[in-house]
Amino acid sequence: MGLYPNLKRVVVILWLLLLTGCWSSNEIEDLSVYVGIALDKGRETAEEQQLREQGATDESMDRVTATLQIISSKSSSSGDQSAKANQKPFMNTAGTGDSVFEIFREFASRRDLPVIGHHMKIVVISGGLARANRLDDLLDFFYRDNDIRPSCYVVVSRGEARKTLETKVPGSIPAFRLVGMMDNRNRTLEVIPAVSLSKLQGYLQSGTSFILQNVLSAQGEIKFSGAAVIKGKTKKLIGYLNEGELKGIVWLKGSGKGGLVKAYDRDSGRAMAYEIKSMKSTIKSRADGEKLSFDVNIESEGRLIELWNHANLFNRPSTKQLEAIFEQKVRLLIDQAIKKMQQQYRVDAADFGSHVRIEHPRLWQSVKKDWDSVFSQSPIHYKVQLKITEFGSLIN
Amino acid sequence: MTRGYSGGAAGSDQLAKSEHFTGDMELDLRIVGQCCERHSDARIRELYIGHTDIRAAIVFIESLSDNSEIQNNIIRPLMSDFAERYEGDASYAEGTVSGSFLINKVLSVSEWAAQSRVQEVMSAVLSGSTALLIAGSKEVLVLGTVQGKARSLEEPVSEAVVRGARIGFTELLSDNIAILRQQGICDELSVERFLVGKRVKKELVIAYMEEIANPQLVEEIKRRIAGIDIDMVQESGYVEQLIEDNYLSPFPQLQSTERPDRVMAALMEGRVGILLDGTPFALIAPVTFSMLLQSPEDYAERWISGTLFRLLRLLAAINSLLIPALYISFISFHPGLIPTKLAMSILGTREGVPFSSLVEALIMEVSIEILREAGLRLPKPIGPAMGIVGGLVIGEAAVQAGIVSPILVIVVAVTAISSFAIPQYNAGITLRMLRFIAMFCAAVLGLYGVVLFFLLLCSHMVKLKSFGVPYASPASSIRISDWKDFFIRAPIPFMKSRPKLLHTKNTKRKG
Repeated sequence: MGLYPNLKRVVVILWLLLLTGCWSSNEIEDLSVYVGIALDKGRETAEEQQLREQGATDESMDRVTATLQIISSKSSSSGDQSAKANQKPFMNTAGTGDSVFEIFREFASRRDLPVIGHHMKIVVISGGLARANRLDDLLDFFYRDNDIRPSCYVVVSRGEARKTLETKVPGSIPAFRLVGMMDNRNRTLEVIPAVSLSKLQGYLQSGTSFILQNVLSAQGEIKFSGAAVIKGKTKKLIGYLNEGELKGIVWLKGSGKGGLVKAYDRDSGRAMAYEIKSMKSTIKSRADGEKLSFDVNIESEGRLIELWNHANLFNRPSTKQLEAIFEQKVRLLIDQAIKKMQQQYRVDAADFGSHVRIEHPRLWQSVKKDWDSVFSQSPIHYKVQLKITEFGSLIN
Repeated sequence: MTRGYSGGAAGSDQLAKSEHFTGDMELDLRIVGQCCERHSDARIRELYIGHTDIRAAIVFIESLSDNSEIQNNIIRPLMSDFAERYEGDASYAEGTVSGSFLINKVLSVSEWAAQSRVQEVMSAVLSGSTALLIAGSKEVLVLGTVQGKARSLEEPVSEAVVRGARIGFTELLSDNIAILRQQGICDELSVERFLVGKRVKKELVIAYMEEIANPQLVEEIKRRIAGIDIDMVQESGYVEQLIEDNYLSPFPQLQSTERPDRVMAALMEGRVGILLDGTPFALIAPVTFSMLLQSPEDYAERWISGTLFRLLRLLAAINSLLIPALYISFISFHPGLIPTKLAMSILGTREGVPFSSLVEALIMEVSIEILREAGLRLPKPIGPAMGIVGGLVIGEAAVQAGIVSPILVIVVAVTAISSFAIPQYNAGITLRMLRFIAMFCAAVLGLYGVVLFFLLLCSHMVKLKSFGVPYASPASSIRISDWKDFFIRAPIPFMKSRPKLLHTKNTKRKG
């Protein structure tokens, strides 16, 4: 030791490192990666019922059923190709309880590989559950857990949420399909900007009302259709917007990235379609004393993409007439949306409040407490201007 | 120029026998005969010089000396008839011939020295010189007839370039100095000789630019070389290890190179080159880490490609150091940091692998190191075949057998290829060694361990010095002006001054 004065120190440090071992080491193949989760109204699955009959006690009130979509590693391995095609690359497991975390930890007593949430992409909440429970209660665990990323998306399903995590297509993973569909905003107005957990937290904290994408499912097929309206005050779901009403809101906010307007020719009743290239809306709030009103100016450019009117060769509508027909259609959508928001649900689901907050901050202080009802009383004036700039390569 | 073969050099043997030649031919021949008892290749040729009765003898080693030179330039003139002219010479003495007369008027040999000590004369003879003993003279003439055994000049094997000089150093020091001088006409190039080694002496030369190199640096290198006290210096690696600053550091603190252009470029920056007889590897000091990632081609090619190649090599260095460690930490500690789709495929491929990621990675890394080592030892034609067998067959079979995952084979392959992209062989070794430490750190503490390891490595590099120059410079002890020749290689018109960190005498490189 005298020869090597540092040796003792080195040995001690090595011991320290080796004694601790590889703590918190967990090989990836010893974990279950879940990529999606569906929250439904509590209803025990058949296995759970049988387990309980055999003596598995559970004192919780069955409030929530959480269905986890777990990637099954065997399927994605480089094994036999034919065997791979027949296997599902995922596995859905459900648990019931009144604490989401408890449900998650129940899986530890049911599966050999513990579940990890780093890769969770999407939460689907069933409409019924969201109607009965506050969203901040439902999602509390997801915010507190340090595995789950705040970038995870949230959608609502009017039907059973667990059904949206099923598919008939072999080899595809429903959670990824849902996330992938959110990227299609440049093709349709039915897909609204995805709401992540972190964005949702902003809504929940500020108490504004908002909309969440609604997803429907039937026999393993799914569709984004309309939206669920969440009331800021109660943080519960109060209703849905159908596809037309949702489009109306998208036009009002000018938030569409692409899509189409379909209308019918007045005379022939045949379909014609306008493809949106750009969409812009400017919302101005106007305060007249305590009385608020909104002026919305909507402008759009696009191309005439389809016109079922070739029989009527000599009586074709002019471009101006076509634009008027499409504008009429858009106005109809907007009217529906405004009516639904202001008269039926009486909430501001199109974020008009933030315009008041920015443009009339003092007034906002007095109205923000009861914004949803103030909004319902405020008239919205809007102008729609569509411009057809292209007609394609059709020779007229 | 007079060249003292053994007299006067630094560190000359104080214990040399003080026995001198006597001038008495019989006695002297007995002394020489005694010394040559154990040297069976020594030849002693007695003769009478200048058609007179004056006895003389030449002593040489047949295998080391240039026999035709001895024949034509020593023996023949000595035996010619010069006695008459000698009798008129100022140094005339009865019964003998003065050495200076022989050197000046008879012998046509360029190198010579006069020496009277037996020990010194014999060591010169044993290095290939010829000793001329003359009756009546205590001084023995040592004549330079060394014939080096050398191979022809070849392209440097360990540092191939696409563009640049194809010439490499050889084992013969005189050739190496010649090559260095041939880099360009320059009267500033100083070449200073040393003899190193106690029992077996070897010539060592330090080369530097008189007007550029920092004199303190040159003095320090001279001091350290003078301090070498070892039986024999076999290769320049010995010199490197004997004069480096920190023998515990994994980093090479002198650059070794086979390329004369590289040495010359270093000299022009104000560095010092150290050349040792018997090895084609010259040393350059001081060295910084960034130099180990540079190649002479960076300057030969245009600056954009030079810069990109440098960045590429930096990436390769980082790859070679950290990829397996990152693999281990991602697989074992942070599955959340892997992109989801990749995580899924890793999940699938790791299914059924019986080892933890550390053991898995160690198996493959160690076997690829063994492969590389085996490939070096094998005869040249078998080497590549070995690589194919080892790399492809074993890798594929290991995956098929489920011992390792295919992702790991990719990781190991990328790491190995990256380590070959480092232009300096010894820097590559350093990174390979450190890679294993990084892997253990990753296995114990995950990404946190890798970061800790990297911090430790950085702090070591910052602290390390090579002949007074911080190893990590110009990154730490930051000198922005030197960054023109660091990660990027600036266009040559912009590189107007020499590296500041060397404190050169003359700083201006370009007008």
